[in-house]
Amino acid sequence: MNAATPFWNNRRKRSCTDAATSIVFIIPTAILLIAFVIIPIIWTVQISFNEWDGLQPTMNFVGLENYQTAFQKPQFQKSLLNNFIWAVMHLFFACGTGFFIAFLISRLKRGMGFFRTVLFLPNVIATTISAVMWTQIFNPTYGILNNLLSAIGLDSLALQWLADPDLVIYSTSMASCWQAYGYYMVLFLAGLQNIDVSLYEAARMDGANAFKQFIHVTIPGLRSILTFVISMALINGLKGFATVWAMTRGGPEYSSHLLSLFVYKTAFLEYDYGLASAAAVILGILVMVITIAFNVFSDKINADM
Amino acid sequence: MRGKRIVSTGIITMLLAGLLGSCGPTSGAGTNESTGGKIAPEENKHLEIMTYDDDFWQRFVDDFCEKNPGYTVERKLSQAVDTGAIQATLSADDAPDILMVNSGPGRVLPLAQAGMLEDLTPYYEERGWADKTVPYVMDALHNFDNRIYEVVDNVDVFQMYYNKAIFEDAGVEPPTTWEEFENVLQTLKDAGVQPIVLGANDNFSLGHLMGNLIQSNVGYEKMTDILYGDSSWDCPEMIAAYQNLKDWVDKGYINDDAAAIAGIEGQTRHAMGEGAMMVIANGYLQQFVDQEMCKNEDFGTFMFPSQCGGTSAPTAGLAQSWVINKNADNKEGALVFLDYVINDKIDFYDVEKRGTCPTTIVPEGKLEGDPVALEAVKAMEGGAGFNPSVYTTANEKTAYYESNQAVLTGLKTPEEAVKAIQAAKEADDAK
Repeated sequence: MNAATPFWNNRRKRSCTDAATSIVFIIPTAILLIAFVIIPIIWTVQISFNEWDGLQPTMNFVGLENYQTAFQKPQFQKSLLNNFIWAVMHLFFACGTGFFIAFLISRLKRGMGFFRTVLFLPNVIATTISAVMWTQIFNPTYGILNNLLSAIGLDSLALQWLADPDLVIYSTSMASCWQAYGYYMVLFLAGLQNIDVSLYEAARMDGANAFKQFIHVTIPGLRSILTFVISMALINGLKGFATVWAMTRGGPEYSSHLLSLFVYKTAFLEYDYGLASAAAVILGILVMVITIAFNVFSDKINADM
Repeated sequence: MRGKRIVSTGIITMLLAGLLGSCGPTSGAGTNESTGGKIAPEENKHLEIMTYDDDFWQRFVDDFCEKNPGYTVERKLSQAVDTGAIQATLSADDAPDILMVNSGPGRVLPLAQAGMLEDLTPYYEERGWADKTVPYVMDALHNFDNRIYEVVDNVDVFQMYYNKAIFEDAGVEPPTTWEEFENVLQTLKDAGVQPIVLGANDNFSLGHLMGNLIQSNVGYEKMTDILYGDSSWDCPEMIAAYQNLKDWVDKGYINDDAAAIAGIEGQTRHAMGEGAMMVIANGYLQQFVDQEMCKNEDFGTFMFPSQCGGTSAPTAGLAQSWVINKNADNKEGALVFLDYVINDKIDFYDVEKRGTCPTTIVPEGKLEGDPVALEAVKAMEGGAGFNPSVYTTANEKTAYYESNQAVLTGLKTPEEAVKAIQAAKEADDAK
C-alpha cells in the first residue's frame, strides 16, 4: 500500500472495480432476461388490455374486458378447475411417489445408485414421447392397462381412460405425474442423505419407533426441501401443456383442458390474442400468488418451530 | 489490480459497442443495392416459392421451369402451412413470393385482412383462371369476402369408404337411401363387425364424418345460408344431423373408443379391415397402400344418401392453396407461376401417386391411375357439400370440433351442441 494514499481511498477503488466486474458478469444474463422474459411479460400484459387478432398492425384498447370475458367463458372456468385438479394430483402423486421411493432407496445398504438412476429415467424422457406412450397404455382396445385388467378378471375396471369426460383429467395427470416423480425423488433423496444419522440413533435410544423417527426426525430434517419441492410441484401442476396436447388435445370437448391449452387455442386457433394474453396473465398471477402464499406459510411454520 | 480494471473496461466497451451496433440498421436488408439495384419486373425470372418438403413439389417446380424457360425457382421448405406459421413467414424481410397455405376463409381470410396477401380477384377474369377452375371451387372462393386471395391447388373429397370383402361377407350392398344405410349398419353390427371406425381425439376425422351427416340432413343450399347467410346452426335439420351421430353412438355403430384414439389410428384400423366403413378423403388410403397394408381395390365408396330431399353429394374442402405475398419481389413471375398451376399442372398430375383431387377442369381421359382417386374426381362433378372444418370461422370451428366431441361422448345433446356453435359464430360475426 502506498503510504501517501489513505486506506479508505484504496477500499473505494477496489469496491468500484468489484462492482464493474460484477456488472460485466451480470449484463449478458440481464440482456437475455430482459429480451426474453421481461419484455414479453410486459407485452403480454399490454396485449391483455387490447382487442387484437395477432395479425393486424393496430390494437383496440378494451380495458379489463378480456379479463371479464375469460372468467365468463365455460372453457376458461373448466380449464381453471382442471388446473387445480392437475396441481393437486401433482402434489399428492408426483411428490408423494417421489418421497416414498426416495425414502425406500435411502434405506438401502447397496444398489442405491442403480435404483436412483433407473427410477429417475422417466424424467429424462421427452414429454411428448411420454404422452404418446401413455396414450398407448390407456388405449381401451390394445392398451396394456385394460388388457392387464381383463387378464386378471377385472374387466369392470377396464375403462375408457381417455374418452370418458369424467376420467380423462385424472388419466392425463397421472401420465404427467409419472414423468415428474423422478425429479422430486432425487431432491428428497438429497434431503434425506443430509439428515444427521446420529439424530436417528438418539431417537432410537429415547425409545422412538420407526414411525416416530419418521415424524420427529425425517420430516423436520426435510423441511427446507419440502418447501421447495411442494412449490415446484404446484408450479409444474399449473403449467402442464405438452402431455395433454399430445394425449387428448384437451378433449373430449374440453374435459382435459388446462389454462395453457386455453391460451394456446385462443391465440393460435381463434386468433384472439387479447383474451389469450389475459388468460396467460391470470395463470401467471395464479402461480405467483400460490408460490408466495406457500412460502409465507412455510416461513411462518419454520419460525414457529 | 490495474490489469483487472483494463479487462473489465474492455469487456464493458465491447458489450456497449455490440449493443449500439445491434440498434443500427442491418446492412442490405430488404434491398438489392449491393448487386446493382432492383431488377426490372420484365427481366426478373427468379422466384422464391415455399412448399412442403417432399419430392413431389420438387418435381412440380422442375416441371414449371421446364415449361417456362428462363425461370429459376428457389424453394423454401416448410413443414407447416397453417396460418400462424405463414404469418410469421410473411412478416420476415426475406418472405417468399408465393406460398402454399391451408385453404379457406378460416385460414386465408385472417392473412388477407392483415394486408399480407395480393388480391387475385381481377386475375381470375383477366387471365382466364375462372373458366378453367371447377365450379365447386369457384363457388367456394366467391363465398369468401367477395374477394379472392388464393388459387386452390387441390381439394379433399370426403366420402364413405367401405371394405368390399366385409360388405360381401355380410351380404350388404352400398346403400342408396337412408333406410338402406341404417339397415346396412344394423346388419353389420349383427354380424359382429364394427360398422364405422372413427378416431376422434384430434377432431379431424369426426369433423369429416359430421360434415357428411350435415350434407345429408341439411343440404348444400341451406348449409350455404348457415355459413354465409342468415340461417342458423340451431335449425331442425342441423339438430337432426347431430341426432344421427348420437343414435349411431347409442346403437354401437361407431367404435366406443372413438374419442380416445387419433384419426390416424382409426384410419389404420380401417385399412387393416378392422371395421367396415370410414369417412375419409381421397388420397388418405394411399399411405396404407404404399406400406402394403391394403390395396386400393379393397375399398369402394358411396355418398351419404340425402335425408332432405336433395341429391346425394360428397363433402369437400379446399385443401391447400397458393397465395402471393403482398410484398413479393417478383409479382409478375408469381402470376406466371399461378398460370402454370391453372393451365399446365394437370399435365403433370399424377393421381396414382398423389391421390389428390385437382381443382381445374380435367379434359376427358386425362387422368389415369388410381380408380379410387378418380372416383373422387367423378363424385365432384355433381357438386359437393361443405367440409365445415374448412369453411367455418375461427371460433365457429373450435365450437364445431368441441360440439362434435361433446355429442360423441354424451356431454351435450344435439340441441345444446348446435346452440354452442351458433353462439361461437355470432361471436365471430360481432368482431
